[in-house]
Amino acid sequence: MIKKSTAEGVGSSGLSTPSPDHTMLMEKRNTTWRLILNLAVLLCFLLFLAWMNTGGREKRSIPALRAGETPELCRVTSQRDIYEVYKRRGLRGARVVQVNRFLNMVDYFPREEVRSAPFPLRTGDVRPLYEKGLDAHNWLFIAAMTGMVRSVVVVLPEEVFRERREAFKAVFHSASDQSMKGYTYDVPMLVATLNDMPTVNEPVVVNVDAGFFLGPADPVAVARMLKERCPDVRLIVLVSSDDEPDVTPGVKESLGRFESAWRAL
Amino acid sequence: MLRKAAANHHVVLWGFCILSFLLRCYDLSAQPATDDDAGMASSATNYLLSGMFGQIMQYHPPLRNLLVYLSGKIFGAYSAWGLKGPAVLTGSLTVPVVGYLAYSLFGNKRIAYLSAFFLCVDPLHINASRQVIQEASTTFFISLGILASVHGIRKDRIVWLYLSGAFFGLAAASKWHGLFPWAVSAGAYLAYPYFKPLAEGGRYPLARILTFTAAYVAIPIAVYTAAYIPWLDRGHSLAEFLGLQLSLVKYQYLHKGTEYNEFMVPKRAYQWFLWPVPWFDFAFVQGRASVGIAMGNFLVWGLTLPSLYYCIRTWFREKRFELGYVIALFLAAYLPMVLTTRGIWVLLATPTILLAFILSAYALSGLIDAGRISRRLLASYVVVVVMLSAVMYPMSIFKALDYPWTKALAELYTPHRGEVK
Repeated sequence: MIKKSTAEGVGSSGLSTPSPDHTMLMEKRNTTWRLILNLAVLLCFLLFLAWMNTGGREKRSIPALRAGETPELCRVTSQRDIYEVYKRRGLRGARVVQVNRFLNMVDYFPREEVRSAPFPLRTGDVRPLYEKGLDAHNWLFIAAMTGMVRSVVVVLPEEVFRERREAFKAVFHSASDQSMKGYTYDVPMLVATLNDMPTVNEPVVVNVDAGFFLGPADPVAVARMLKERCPDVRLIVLVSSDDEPDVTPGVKESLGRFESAWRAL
Repeated sequence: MLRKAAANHHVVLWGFCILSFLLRCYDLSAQPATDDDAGMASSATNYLLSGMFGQIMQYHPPLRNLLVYLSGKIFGAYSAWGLKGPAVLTGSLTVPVVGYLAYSLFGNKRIAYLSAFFLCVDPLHINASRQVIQEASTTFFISLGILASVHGIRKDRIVWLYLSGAFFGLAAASKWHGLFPWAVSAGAYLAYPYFKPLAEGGRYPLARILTFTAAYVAIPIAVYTAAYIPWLDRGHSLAEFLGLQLSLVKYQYLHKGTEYNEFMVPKRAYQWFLWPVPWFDFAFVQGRASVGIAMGNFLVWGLTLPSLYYCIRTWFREKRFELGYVIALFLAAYLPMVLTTRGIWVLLATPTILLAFILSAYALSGLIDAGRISRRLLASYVVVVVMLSAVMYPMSIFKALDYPWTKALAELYTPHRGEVK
């Protein structure tokens, strides 16, 4: 292209330097070529972002529902057992709505992962190491680490939320009196009361713990409101939390009433 | 023949590269892996396996995981080379790149040689280039990004500008230090026609803005985001990715080191060029303790602030774009570190020192040209710098406990200081 322009320049002016008209023409061509290239780069960039966005979403695995089918309802006796329920159903990248008075996001990191050794260092899949440390208060964190859960909405009773609000404000990057938004490690989290929880417009897995009803919460109202806030529930796990000393038989009865109300909806 | 070789800057700069490589890989297998190194090996494997960030420095972007994983595959295992290969390689290659950068900026071999030499023998850079941490690769990609920017901005060459964007994307995907030179270079590209009104492409501001958007916005963001693909594959959306970046801003701002690093190790960036500041790493493998001390050669580091003063004064006199660009790059890399309230340890100086060294080399060269200092004095200074770096070398390669003069420094900062023996 450069050779051609020189030849044209010589031809038109008879001199070894191109004419001003010719230079302007070449510059214009060059500018057009750049414009096209830049637009192509920007278009590729937008396509790349779109591909990234859908690519991630397509990797999610969450129980499917046929039209008119109700979501599966499971009962377990400890928060810890929910992990196994998820694992058996092959959950991946799920959004979880956790209705409890605890976050169940206590962090856990196996020491073996960062222990020095002579060369060559041996590494492998660390997910089993995380699973070894599973308990009722860290299972949700571990489920997030192992990839089954990607995002968590924690619904706390009003009185618990009020009590812990100030402590949350120090941790979450977006905090108001109604809800806390932020990340725990790399897990997007929203903490709110049921009244202030926004509607979740994507398929979710819901866990309801008996401990949520330790306060004045009405199980029937909770079921109704939860259904409104989470229109697309794919799996619901009810937890009687037998391993929590303050969960009394009366509280477990409330969980039973929640179950009846949920089924009736 | 030596004189002929010295006149060819390619020969000299690649000679520095070989020397850098030797200094950075000498006895590499004998340097034990720290707990952090082990954690980073595991992070690399698991990031590729399941998108998990791992425990060590999970708040930094994940390009390190990709580089370490690739290196592990190339060397067949996480041997010393498999693990630290990317750091050794990028650390060694940064030296000639910095030389080429200085040469491209000022067209002066003395400045190029001095810049490359300062980095080649800097004990802190040697230390950083022998660990898995991302300091060496960040600095490497930053220097490549600036070099490509210089070529791209001067001639408005689109391929160089795109390359620059890609390198800044890689730098930022290694560590956020890459954001500062990226921003300055993007600004420099937009500002260049105002400094040089006859610059190529300067007559088409809209075309320039479009090139700017493609080269300094789209390409670096695409490269940066691509490093997160294994994480996005966990089911995350781009909105969640953006949210993560915002949460990391807060995390970085509030980050606290271990109790030892917070209370016993100097942690303010203003100290870097005023007096010698150390950083410590410990390893305890098979019953043997090793201590690595990262500390700059203060004979070089101490020149930074006077050189900055000299360069700023010169810039006000000459208004030379290239000098202003380096000053802006240095200030943009250094001032945020100085002004932040969180702890900033000296190992974080790695991406800043390459710019400090170019400024110092420029000042020294200017003083020689002005006849203020003699060539003989410069030669003597270079010899003393080499001697001090040689004395400090055992600290950089985790042999601080093996030599009495480095052991004394290690004991001064021992975590067990004050304990009853």
